[in-house]
Amino acid sequence: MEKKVQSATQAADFAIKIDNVTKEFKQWQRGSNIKDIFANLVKPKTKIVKALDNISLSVRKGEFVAYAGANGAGKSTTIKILSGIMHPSKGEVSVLGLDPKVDRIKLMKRIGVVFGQRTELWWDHPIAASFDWKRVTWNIEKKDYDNRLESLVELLDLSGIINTFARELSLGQRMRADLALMLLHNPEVIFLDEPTLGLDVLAKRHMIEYLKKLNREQDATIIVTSHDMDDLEEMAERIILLSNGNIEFDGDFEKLRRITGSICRIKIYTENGQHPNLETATIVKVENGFTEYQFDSNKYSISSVLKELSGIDTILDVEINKAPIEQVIAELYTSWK
Amino acid sequence: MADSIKRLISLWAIHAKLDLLWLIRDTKNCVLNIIADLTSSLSTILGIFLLSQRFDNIGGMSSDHILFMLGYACLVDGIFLMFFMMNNTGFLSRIIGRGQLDHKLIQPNPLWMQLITEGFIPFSGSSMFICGLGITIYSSMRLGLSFSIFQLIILVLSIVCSIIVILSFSCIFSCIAFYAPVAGEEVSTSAYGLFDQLKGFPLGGFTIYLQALFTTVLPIGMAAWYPASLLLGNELKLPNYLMIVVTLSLAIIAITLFKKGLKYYGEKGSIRYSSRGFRN
Repeated sequence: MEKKVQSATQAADFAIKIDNVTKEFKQWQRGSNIKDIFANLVKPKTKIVKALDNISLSVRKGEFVAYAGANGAGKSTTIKILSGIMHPSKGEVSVLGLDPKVDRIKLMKRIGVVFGQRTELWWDHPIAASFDWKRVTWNIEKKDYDNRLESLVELLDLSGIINTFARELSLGQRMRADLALMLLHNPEVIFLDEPTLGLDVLAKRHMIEYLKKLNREQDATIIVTSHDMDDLEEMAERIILLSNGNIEFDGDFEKLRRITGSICRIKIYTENGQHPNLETATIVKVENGFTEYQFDSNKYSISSVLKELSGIDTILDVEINKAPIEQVIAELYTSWK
Repeated sequence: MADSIKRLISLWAIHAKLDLLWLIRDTKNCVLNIIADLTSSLSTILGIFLLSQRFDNIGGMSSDHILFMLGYACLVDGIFLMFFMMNNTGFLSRIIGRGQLDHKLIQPNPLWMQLITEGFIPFSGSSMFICGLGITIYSSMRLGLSFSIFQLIILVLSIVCSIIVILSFSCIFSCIAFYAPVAGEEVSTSAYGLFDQLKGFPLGGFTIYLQALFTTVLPIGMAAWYPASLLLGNELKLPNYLMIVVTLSLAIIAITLFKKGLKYYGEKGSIRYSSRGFRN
């Protein structure tokens, strides 16, 4: 009895559970010569591609998870499976204790989905009209809607654009409006597929701040996919890395850096723009008088690199950094190929 | 059931509101829309009067009978336009072929409910309906017809059946887009075009085989000629129950194929996405 209660409590702690999920697609194969074309008419050649290969993972309520991987790794497929748009070939999926395939309607009242390159806004209407449409379509109580709209307008800085037609918004403004539209029914779990794609630096920064605030203040579970690893590192506490349909890494960003070796970067600025060769580090970039070196801190200690640099008289400034997460991931992707 | 009806009405109401907001979004646009609609309606009415004169006594129908049939066709078209023509259910292959079903699947309502309510345009799309109503009343008066409540119910049911036939026929072809999204994207336009171009022709002069062909396999006769002839009490070579049989059969085939296609969509997903025509 106690065990049952314990297991139910544990299940209630999870927002998402994916158990041994496989998603297969059939791809048509055909050469370009005439023989192949005619042979294909009689007996088409196909290849089975595994977008997800027996993956299992769980996400606790209130977690902010980055879901990353190279193109075709299976990120969007997972989001579509979790939101009930697609169904897995094998395995079980549960979001807030519901099966997305069976309980799509119930689930949609409790989750929110934003696809970065798509909009849910009504194009030829002011965004206030889209919000009103959302209220009716999601059957949101008027009082809850008014309160939520008020706080979202403030949170996402929408007061200046709420009466603007969706087609007249910039991409950054449109993304904010789309995010507000998605949040109006107070979803417990949020799926964001490439929410920062195409945004300029400032709009991206705002978007990241909003999402962090949302997770922190409203305890929303957020799963976000992106190609921009630096954005993901700034937003999420945990990163799941996919490669060829398999989970290759699941943990925090520090752990991810440790796995790929402790690659560090050191930048020097010299009086005469010199870029001297070092034994302990290799040059990765030379730009505007700066020379950037890279070294593995497991191989050479920072003090040994600095000792070598101290022999260069013309150095004016030194800056030590961790390798950008983009580089860490790129190295991982290359090693998985 | 009561909840579903309530949801349907509230969804239709919000789309009607969006349509009104769109129509009156600025004075210039509103005036231009009304002028364009008036011109289009006027040409429809004139075209119908000319056709009714041209087809006098063709297929066993007098010019007033033809006028009634064309009025009926306009009513069907008008209702179809108001409910299904704004890039939604009437053009299902576009939604499927452009990967836009994803948008529908993330809403907390049954898919059928979204499909029949989204894009309801009672204000900007009512001109054809008003024309149809006017022509039907005018031709009925000329024919000396007085509809009882029962006959009015039959008229409404016939219109509903005609619309189901057109929708189902379009849906059956639209299902191709599940399997060939690019090639099948515009197939619903062609399927609807068949009715649009041919529904106004009286089929009474054809042999029973051709009449059967044009009321079952290519059911253009079900959009106007067959129901109008029944309502006018004209003698038909085809059985009186044919409309119900064809409507039910096509609806069942369409629903079955759509469900099958939707299952495929769930397995395969959409291999393309285009926002063209989505919510504008």
